[in-house]
Amino acid sequence: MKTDANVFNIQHFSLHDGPGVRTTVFLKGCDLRCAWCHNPESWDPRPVLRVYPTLCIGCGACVKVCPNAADGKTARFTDACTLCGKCAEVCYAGAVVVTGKRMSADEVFDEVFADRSLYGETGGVTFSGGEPLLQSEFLAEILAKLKENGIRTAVETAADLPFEKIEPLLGSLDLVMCDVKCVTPPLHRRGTGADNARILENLTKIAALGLPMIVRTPVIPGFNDTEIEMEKIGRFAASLGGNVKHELLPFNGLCVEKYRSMGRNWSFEGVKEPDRARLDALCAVCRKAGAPTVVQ
Amino acid sequence: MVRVERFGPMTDELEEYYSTFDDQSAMLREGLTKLFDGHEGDAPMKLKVMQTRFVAEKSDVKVFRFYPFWHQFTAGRVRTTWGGLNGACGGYYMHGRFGGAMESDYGRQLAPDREKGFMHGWNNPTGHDHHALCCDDILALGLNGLKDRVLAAREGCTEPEKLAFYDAAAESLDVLSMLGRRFADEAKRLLETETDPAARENLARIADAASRVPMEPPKTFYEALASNVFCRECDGTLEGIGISTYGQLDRMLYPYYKRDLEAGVLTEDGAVDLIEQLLLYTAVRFQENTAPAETSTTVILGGCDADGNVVYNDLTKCFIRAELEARVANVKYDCRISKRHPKEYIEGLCSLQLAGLAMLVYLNDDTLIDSRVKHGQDVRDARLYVAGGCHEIVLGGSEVCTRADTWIGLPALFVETLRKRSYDSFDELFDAAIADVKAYHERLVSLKNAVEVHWPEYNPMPLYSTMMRGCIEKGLDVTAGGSKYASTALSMVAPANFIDSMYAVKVLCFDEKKLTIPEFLAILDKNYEGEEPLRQYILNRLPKHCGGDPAMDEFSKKVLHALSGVSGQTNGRGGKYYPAFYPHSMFIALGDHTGATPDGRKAGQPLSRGVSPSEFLTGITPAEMLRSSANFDYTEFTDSFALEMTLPKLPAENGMAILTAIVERFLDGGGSSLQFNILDTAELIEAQKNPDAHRDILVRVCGYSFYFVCLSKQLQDEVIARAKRQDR
Repeated sequence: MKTDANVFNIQHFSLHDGPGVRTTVFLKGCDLRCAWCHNPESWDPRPVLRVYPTLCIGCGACVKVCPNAADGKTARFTDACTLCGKCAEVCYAGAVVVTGKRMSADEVFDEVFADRSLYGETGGVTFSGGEPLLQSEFLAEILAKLKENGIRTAVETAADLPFEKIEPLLGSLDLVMCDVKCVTPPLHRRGTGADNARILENLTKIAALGLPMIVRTPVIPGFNDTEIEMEKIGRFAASLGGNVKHELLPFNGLCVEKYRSMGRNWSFEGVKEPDRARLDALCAVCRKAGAPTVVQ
Repeated sequence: MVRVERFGPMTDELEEYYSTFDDQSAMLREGLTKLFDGHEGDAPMKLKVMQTRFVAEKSDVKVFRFYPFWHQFTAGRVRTTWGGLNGACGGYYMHGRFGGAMESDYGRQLAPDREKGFMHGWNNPTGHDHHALCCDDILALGLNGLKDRVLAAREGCTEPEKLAFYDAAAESLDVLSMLGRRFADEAKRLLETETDPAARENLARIADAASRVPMEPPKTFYEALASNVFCRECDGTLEGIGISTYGQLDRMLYPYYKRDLEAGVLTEDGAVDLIEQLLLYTAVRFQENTAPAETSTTVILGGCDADGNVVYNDLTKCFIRAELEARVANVKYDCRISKRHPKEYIEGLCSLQLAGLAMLVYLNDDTLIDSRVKHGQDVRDARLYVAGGCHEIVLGGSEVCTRADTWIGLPALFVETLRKRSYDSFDELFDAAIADVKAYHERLVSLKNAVEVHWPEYNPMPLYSTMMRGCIEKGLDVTAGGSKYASTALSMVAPANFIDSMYAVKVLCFDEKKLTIPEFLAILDKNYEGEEPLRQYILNRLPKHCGGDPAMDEFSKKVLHALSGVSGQTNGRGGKYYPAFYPHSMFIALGDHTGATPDGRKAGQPLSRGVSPSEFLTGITPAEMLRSSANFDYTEFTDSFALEMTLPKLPAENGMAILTAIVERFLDGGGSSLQFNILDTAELIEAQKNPDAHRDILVRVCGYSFYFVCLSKQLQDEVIARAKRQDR
């Protein structure tokens, strides 16, 4: 294979990214900027530096190797930091890490193929992100090779790309998981920074091809957790037809640590998770609108 | 208390009895002391039979109004013990006459080793526990048939020692039959005044069955199950040993079940009821909801018969159904699986796990039978293997279990090897480390052999010998080597810590030359104090055993293969020592006494279990474990070499697919045994704070299962640490 990709994690024994046991390949780079995003380390296609203070053993090795250290501190999270990664190299405790690396399609293939005997009758490989479809040449090549070798494949995508970029991949996919974050256009722009007309259009086109799909709606407090929006989402999900499942994914605040590790603030810090009763009520709204909705 | 609504009266009755009963140990011990007065010089075999008769005659027998089996006689056996060691007056002779001399000899000599983490275990090095009767013979012949077999062998025999053995064996069977009839009489007596219709039905059934079985071969499913239960309970109590397993019940009892169903005298529900009542008895007797008492009680499911035909039948399904309803931690199910078993069976077992019932272990027939054949045992006998009580494998009815007493701590031995002298190359160190384990194994063997030779005087077991193939043919007690097979094992604990430690020394002291061995030892002596960067380097930068690194897998393979060669010595009964790695709970006890080790483990931390990676590592998922562990040749080891893993809470619609994929992967990889827990960290932490609200969380600790809230704080923390490692 010829292509390579920006990868930020390969999660073995993944249980929540599709049916059965899966290996999930997280590709780096995303055009959306959803305010609640759980994978902020995935936005930039380039590697990012992250720090976990609780793992720090205070050995000071990072300061010694930092070429731009000043006042006994490393340059990280300042303008002087060149992302050289030397601090991560000497941090044996894993308190400083560089997230993201270039991997060839062959390397990725070998790593996921090693898990093949765990995939059983339903599991397989999921490409997630970031937005995995941004690296469509890589995907086209590796998906075809996985297919050739009898491995089931899936993607998790926001589908905000020209359909011509998506269509060639569909023949090598067994499952498409994509988000419908909301239906109302201004709301979508406010929450993600992007329009949603193309997204909804793409979903309709994919569904029309009869490919198994799971449409997922993150339930985000203060964004889409209203009955009026859920009703629209339910109606849209129902319009996609019989081969499409619809899941509500409740917001949770666990990824605050990720934002902190990147030296960032998160506007959703401290926001409470929606309670079960509220989720059930919103699920009922979607179902009433005709969608086969379940709460995850 | 465990409670299934329709068996409420039964569990209430059992609970009431066991919470107040007098085990009569004072009366029995006093009586036995008088009985033996003036007989000090008599042959051990004779004294043992005198004791057996006295205990069986003088103990009160108890027949329950609502519990369908009969076996409870006081016998000095307190509530949460089985027959083993001090559990009953069946052990009076050995303790009375020798005053624990054997324990003190073995224990005294090994006390320093225990402190250093070289070994751990019980002071009595003979097989006082985890035994299995030849249930096939009990069912086929009954006690009368077993006695006929003894008398036939006695015919024409002239050797006085053998004659004494045969006489003792025949008399012991008479005593057991007498004890059985006492239950029939008691049931009849109770019937005279009983007015409750359900109780009358139960008592009438016992009165009828107990007058015939197990003296005669059973005719129905109920009689067959009751025969088995009676012999297991009473034989263990009278002999003063633990008989752990009920054996391959689905294999042995299926013909009775089928016949009864065809004759219309039993229904599937009726069979499930009987099984459930047995499960509930064990749970209540051992107070499993309140006290952390190991019950050592197992049923073997699945597997195959002596001809190799796969066992999975409607009765297997009944056992799964019974547990799904009773939801008890004990009886434990030891589930023999293979590539030839239908998927439905695997799914049935996984359904127990998904229901939170972590009371089972998967044993791989394809590997375990092969390993026994490789070690010279007959394939027809090997196919009938059972798990003694936890992880030890014994051949059901033809092999005496002497495997559950002494465990070797590999990591402490390796540190000792480092201390002994200097090494010019890693290869030299490698060979020395293996040679030292071998030398230590030999030391334990010679200590064990020196005391084991007294076993036939210490506690001869003529009754057990009648239910063990080989003894009657040879005219030799089971303690003297009568059983067809007499192999044994000194289990080696913590291969992962041993392998990772070796590897760390290889990299740091030989490849990278970061420090010398004496410097490393000084750091270990300080428990890594002030050396945290080095420790983190070891933890996070070096590949680990069973962590998914192919080159490391090769290293592990080489070490495991070398360790398979440390045994092979001959034991006190003429059997061989086989290589084995079953940890019991010793990964905790040995960890307590093992100082810091070169793999980054600090002093006192638990050691690793089975073939699994070290306890304190993070980031190794079941995918890596399954991949790595599939590289080893488990047929080199005769006992269950468990892969243990912890899974997070599974998504409901996906759980079955995930679990069956794991089990199939394990079978494909030629593993030895597999067990897992599905744990939720938050729930466990909550349960620690508020135990009463979380009494139902069942945890597979090692070769046994407990309710989480009943575990010691130390073990609870250990289980929480396991759960945390799976959180991502």
